[in-house]
Amino acid sequence: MSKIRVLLADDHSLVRKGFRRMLEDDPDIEVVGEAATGPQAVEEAERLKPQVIVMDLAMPELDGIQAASQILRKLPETGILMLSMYSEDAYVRNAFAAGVKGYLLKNALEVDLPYAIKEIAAGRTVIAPGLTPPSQQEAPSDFEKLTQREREVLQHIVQGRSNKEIAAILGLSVNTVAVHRANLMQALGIHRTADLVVYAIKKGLVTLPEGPLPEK
Amino acid sequence: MAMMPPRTPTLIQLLGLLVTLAAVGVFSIFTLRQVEQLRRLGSDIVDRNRRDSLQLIRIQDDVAQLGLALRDMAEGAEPYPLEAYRPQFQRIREDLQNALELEARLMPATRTPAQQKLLETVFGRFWAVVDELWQLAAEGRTEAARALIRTRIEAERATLATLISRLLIQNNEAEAAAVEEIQAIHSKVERNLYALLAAVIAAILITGSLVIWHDRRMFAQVALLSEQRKELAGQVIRVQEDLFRTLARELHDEFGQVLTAVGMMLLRVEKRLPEGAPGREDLREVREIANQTLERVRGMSQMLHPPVLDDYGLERSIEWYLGQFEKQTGMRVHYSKEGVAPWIGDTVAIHMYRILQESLNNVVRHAGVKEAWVRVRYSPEKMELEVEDHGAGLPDKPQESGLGMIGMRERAELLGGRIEFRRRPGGGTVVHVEAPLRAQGGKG
Repeated sequence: MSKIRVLLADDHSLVRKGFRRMLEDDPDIEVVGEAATGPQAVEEAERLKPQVIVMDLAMPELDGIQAASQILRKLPETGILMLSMYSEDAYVRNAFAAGVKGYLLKNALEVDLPYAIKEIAAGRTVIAPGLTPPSQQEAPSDFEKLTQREREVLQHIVQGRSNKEIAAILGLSVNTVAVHRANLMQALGIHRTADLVVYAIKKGLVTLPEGPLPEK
Repeated sequence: MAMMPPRTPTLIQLLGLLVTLAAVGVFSIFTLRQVEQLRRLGSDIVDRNRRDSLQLIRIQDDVAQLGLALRDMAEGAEPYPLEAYRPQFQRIREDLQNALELEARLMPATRTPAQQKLLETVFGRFWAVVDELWQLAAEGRTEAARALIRTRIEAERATLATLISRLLIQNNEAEAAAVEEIQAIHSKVERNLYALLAAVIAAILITGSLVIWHDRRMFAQVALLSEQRKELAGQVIRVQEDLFRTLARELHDEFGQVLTAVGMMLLRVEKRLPEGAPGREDLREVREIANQTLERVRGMSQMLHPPVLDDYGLERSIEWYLGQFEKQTGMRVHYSKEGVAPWIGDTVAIHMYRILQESLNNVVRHAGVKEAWVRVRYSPEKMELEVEDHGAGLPDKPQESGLGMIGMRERAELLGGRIEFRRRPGGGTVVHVEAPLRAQGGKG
């Protein structure tokens, strides 16, 4: 049986090193690459096409959940194991909504990592003890699934700003803004920007501006 | 900017008051003296002059009557003896006597003693010659008597008439002079009154405008100080939040990750050792310690700045915090939410979150109850937050409410919103905050 090809994504090299050591001890696992940021993880995933990605939730630029949804849009077969310091329901729920197969807490690595990777590679789901699986959580509305950043981007979109303008305002790259836009539209089940505006108005997120529309 | 030390306006005000009082005082003294002079001129000179003149006219009249009688006597046209005129002369003399006495008592200021003396002397001479006349008449020397009348008596009488006329003229002139003087005094007093009015108005204007100018400056300074204080308070809060956020991230990222890595390494070593090997139990304990420390670091990091706030926004953070709060304090929090939360910027989010924390902590510390109500209302324009308890209520003295309430006010002001601390009619407190959401810039 061939080894499970694993990509490590974590912004802390010390942690990556720790993971690597631990995984290298296991004969069934091969660490094929590392990434330090969300966009890098996406890039490496596309290049290496690993079976399993061990992904840190809190990463700069694009966090683990967002990187995961982007990767899964292109490589739906990839098994992603989310590692996080946060046990709040919202994180767990959003991670699974993005399509990850496992969620473990970094501060309680009692479940051993190689075992979790093998479970995911075998198509099973892993969740750290003590966490509430999404199936047992109160179902959130579509809108409640949105992260703070996604809501901010949504606000700018319905105000008529382009990805470029939004990127300038938020100090992000245009690509990152595009990912946010795609993610939030997927989360809301909306495919066109015009529908997004209608949704926001219906929802009472924005009010129509008074007076004539600006000429542009 | 440079701030002038505020100067007290008391000195200026006192100076103005003194100037005004001095002007009024000087004028009063001056006016009183002028009025005194007027009174003197009026009663002493004019009145006395007039009364004196009346007596002088009476004397003149008597002298004229004497003249008529003397003419009749000298001409001898009437069929009466000279003696017959004696009772008439006696009556006139008595009247003159009375008039002269009154006149002497009224003697006006312009009369010199020499004039008075002359008047007495001439009258004395006149009556002496008249007595001579009656002597001659008694002796029957009518012609000699008539000659005496024509020569000496008539001459003395003419002197008398001239003298009295002159005195009358003198009186008239003195009166005219006095009237002129009175008019001069009147106009002088009038002029001085205008001068005083001008001086007092000027003093009031100067003092008043100085005080107003000073008040305005004080007000401007107070406004500036208040603005600066607000700015400073805002700055302090911002710096504090920035620090908390940095510390939280640092704790989480650095210490948290290092401890995670340590835990992993320990786990790896532990696994390599065979079951029951010496040291394996120790390793497990060390790993346990590392995990507990990690848990503490995570707790501290969350307390300083919860990551949910940055990742999922205020709405989710409130819900998460209320859960934590209930667990930690044993309080029961009734939570309700209206409307859909739009994107809420970091600034509004962190301040509203802190206000909620502080309000709930106040309930725990002061209200002495186990229940609280949290209500949140969202609209695209604003959000409202209400924290209610049915406990002890607000302290009577505002200073007892402490720094917490001041901080909440500062935060509400920073957001351009408002906060109210109300007593509930049935006991307890309601904290109500409103923050505008429209004004939020593109930057969170």
